[in-house]
Amino acid sequence: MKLFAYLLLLALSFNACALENIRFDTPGVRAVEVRIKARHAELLPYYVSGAVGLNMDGTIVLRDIASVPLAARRHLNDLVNAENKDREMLYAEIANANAHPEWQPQIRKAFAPRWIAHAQPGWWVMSDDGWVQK
Amino acid sequence: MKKIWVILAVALLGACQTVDVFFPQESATKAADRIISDVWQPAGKPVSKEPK
Repeated sequence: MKLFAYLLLLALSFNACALENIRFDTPGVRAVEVRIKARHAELLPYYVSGAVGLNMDGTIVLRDIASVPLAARRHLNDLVNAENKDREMLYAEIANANAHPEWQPQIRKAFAPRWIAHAQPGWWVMSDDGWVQK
Repeated sequence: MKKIWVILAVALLGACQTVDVFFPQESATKAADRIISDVWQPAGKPVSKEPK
């Protein structure tokens, strides 16, 4: 009977602590989301053309600058840098929202394969064998 | 009898602390899916606020 009570209490306490969901409903997270979302409209044609590809580490990369008109190259470079900075800030904001700033690398790791999974057919993504078209 | 409560309290706290250090991987993957579908969806739809 005593053992049962221990187990029950342990199970209850485990549930209370273990069922924590990752929180991402903070103003900081939303602000970054809004920026990434706005930038996506500009980046989309470059994902489709293959000028920009998705890395395995949750960043994006200029993979075919030659396909981009000279006049647009600088702006595209800025877009890619800003996107990578914002993604890093997104991971940091989510970690902070959960009061675990040290989770940032794990959150990045959780996001990295999901960006690739959500990529549209035709986009270029990095794999263990190099660049592949989805 | 008092001893039991002490043990229980320690077990409770222990469970919390042990579990707390684990990163909620599954929940993080779900959060990533929610956020990525949000930011990559066609323009015009609002960014979601609720974690699920």
